[in-house]
Amino acid sequence: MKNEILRMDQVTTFQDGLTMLDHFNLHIFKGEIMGLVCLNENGKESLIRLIRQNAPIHYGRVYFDETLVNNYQHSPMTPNRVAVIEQKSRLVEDLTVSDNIFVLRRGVKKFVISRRVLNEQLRLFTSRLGIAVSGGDLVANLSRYEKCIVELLRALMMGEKLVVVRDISNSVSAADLINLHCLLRLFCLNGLSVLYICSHHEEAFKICDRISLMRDGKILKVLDRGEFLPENMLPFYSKSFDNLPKKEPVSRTGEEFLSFRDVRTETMDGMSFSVAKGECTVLLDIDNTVLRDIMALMNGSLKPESGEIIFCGASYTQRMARRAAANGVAFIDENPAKSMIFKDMSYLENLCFLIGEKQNRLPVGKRMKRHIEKEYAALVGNDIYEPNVKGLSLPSLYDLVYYRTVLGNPKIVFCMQPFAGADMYLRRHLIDLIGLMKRKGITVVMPSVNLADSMVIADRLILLKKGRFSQEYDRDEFYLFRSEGIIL
Amino acid sequence: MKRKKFKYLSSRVTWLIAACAACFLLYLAAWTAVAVREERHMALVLAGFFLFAAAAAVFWRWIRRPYLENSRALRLFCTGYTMNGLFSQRTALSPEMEDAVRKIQEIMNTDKLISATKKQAQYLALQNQINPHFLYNALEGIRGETLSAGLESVAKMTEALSTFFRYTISGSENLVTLEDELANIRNYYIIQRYRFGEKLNLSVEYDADHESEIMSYCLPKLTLQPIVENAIYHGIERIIGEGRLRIKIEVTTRRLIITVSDNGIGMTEERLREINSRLGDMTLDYINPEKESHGGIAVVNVNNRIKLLFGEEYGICMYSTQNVGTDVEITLPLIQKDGRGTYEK
Repeated sequence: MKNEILRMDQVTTFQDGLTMLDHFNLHIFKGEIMGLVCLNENGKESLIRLIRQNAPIHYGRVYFDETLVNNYQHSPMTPNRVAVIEQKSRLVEDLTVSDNIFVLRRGVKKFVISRRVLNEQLRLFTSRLGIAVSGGDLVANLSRYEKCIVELLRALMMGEKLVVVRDISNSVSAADLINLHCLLRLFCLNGLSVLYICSHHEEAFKICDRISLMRDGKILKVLDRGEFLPENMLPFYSKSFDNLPKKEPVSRTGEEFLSFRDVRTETMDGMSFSVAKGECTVLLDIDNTVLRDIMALMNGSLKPESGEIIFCGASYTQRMARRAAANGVAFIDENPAKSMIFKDMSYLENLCFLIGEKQNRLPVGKRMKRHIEKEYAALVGNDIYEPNVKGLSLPSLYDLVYYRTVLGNPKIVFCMQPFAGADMYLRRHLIDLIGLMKRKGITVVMPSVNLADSMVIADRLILLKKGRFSQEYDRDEFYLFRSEGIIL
Repeated sequence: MKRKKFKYLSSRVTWLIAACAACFLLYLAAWTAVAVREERHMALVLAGFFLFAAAAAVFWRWIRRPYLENSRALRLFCTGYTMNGLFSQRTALSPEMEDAVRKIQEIMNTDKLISATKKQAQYLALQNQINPHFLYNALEGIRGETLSAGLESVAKMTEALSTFFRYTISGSENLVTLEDELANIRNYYIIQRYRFGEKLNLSVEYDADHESEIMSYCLPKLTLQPIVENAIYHGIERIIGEGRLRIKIEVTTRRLIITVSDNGIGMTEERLREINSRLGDMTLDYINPEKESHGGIAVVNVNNRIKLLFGEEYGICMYSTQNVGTDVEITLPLIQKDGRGTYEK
């Protein structure tokens, strides 16, 4: 007989007049890893908030550990025994691991805390689980994966009954993700329940016992493990992905456009790879160690200890890298809608920004602005006349970032994890935007820690492991990664 | 339509209390000014503020919050979200209002509704039969004849059909065991297999280690058959290729969860929204034969019967996607054979 840790029954919530959760049903059994694949972002935030705290709801009932904790008649605002692990860690960075696990929890009333005892307790606990985390380490010095482990240990110590893991594959590497999955399974055997939220069904298939598909705050289907087949998911994705052009395998031209030759930094150990002109290349870092350094080398904030970077047939020095835009190198951050939009500027000013930067920060002339406005009005519609970009939808903001990059006429664009945190519709939109850059002859490099939808658009995949080049795959070998993502 | 707020006692009381609070605050402010200027009576002023804060807290906890809860329950009742919410309010506006609500509850006598929904279920199951008893006798006759003629398959079908009729029309009990209900489904499946052949495949999944325990739990009679029938006629019949019908049974410490899934044609979002809205509405309009029906009566009927018997926290929810299939999830309380259950109605 199973025990239901969480049961949400016909839950309906509104926010600013919009329906966030629409007759939402979900039940999670004790010791189960329940997947929640969100086809779009609507309702995801509200759901997590509601699972953590019994906030008012318009209709429905929420049961936690078989007890009615929240219903439409009375919402006590009490917290539930739930821990949330997401991209941003909830640990206190300036405290040690054992402080975070043992001291910062409900019910600790000790005045004198022995660090030695805490560390020893943690050692006993972690050695039993086969985890290598030292209690004395500062949290700030840990990798994202290690922080995840600490958060899990903390949840266990605090007696949490449910752990919500949200979009974690965007922040931990593929290898670490496998370890994390093993750990979650181990914890589930000990009675912990997990709600694994992600945007990609392939990721959920690997770890979950059941999966619920959610769109617009509503459950569309619940799949059991026996139904974890890509064909069962296709109908939900087909509307967005069925009109994608089928890509043919490309043969390498031999022209090296960008190459790293035995580059060494603190994390790189003789990195060597090359990217051909006009291609879209995924740099998949299995351990999530070198991506930041690659970006830092390309934008000039880091100098290689040894080795050389060749770009367009010439050495790409730190001095050149500091004027990357002028040298035809552009960057698109992870979640660019948050970090690459100037909220105080109009749409057009945002769009023209990179041109101004390229012209030694001279303002863009009115005539040129008029031309750009005319040209891009056909592509983005009335958004171009928008004086305030704050009110734009997420796809429009992505349009703005990508069109601005294209307008800067770069030779190569580094798109850092373009699909991270994007829902299905946005991912489809991003595929089109990256396709547009490729059609313009721009070389695209996508440093990533997971494959997600990169394979749909990529021509080449370069695996990086332990700070070195590991392997390279052409498009016709992508079938080897079929279980990792959508491949056309 | 714009409402005149002062028409309502609630508005009048709110304004009156707000005016009193404002006056008291004004008085306190004036008093504070005097006390500060004359540098005395500070303790009294502080006591005044404390009294005001205490009165505000009491007002919030005793009056405002229960009032908001009541308003919400009434609003949800009016919009069709809940029926029990009206009858299970923690506080009443006045003794007369409490009596009035009780009277409404009596008028909506649930026993009559249960019997109406049960009759409706039987009617739906037999609506195409002119005279079930006559048919039942005739079927027995046919079975005898076919057995003597060596037509075993026809005899088997006839037996299934007559057993199905017997289960459907006989007995006045509301609750049956899961074993009996599944046996009826298997009979129904045998009958339908003669029509659909290999196209129709039924599987029943449950924890085999606890089979006897699971099969002994009770549920309202004719809960599954109308849903299975819907799955076949509105889902599987309309597809090309193999139709899979799956009944999955899960037992938790408090609930029995049965999911009937098919890989049929599914339904559009609008249609699903319409049915789910009727599942949530708790109206009994569908019983009225004069009311124009748009299908989905069987599921709504089963859902209402469950809610009336066990309370609003149980019932049916439906997931469906066009060209993918439909899942109907039935949530019931755990009820033993002796009638002991985990529900509080």
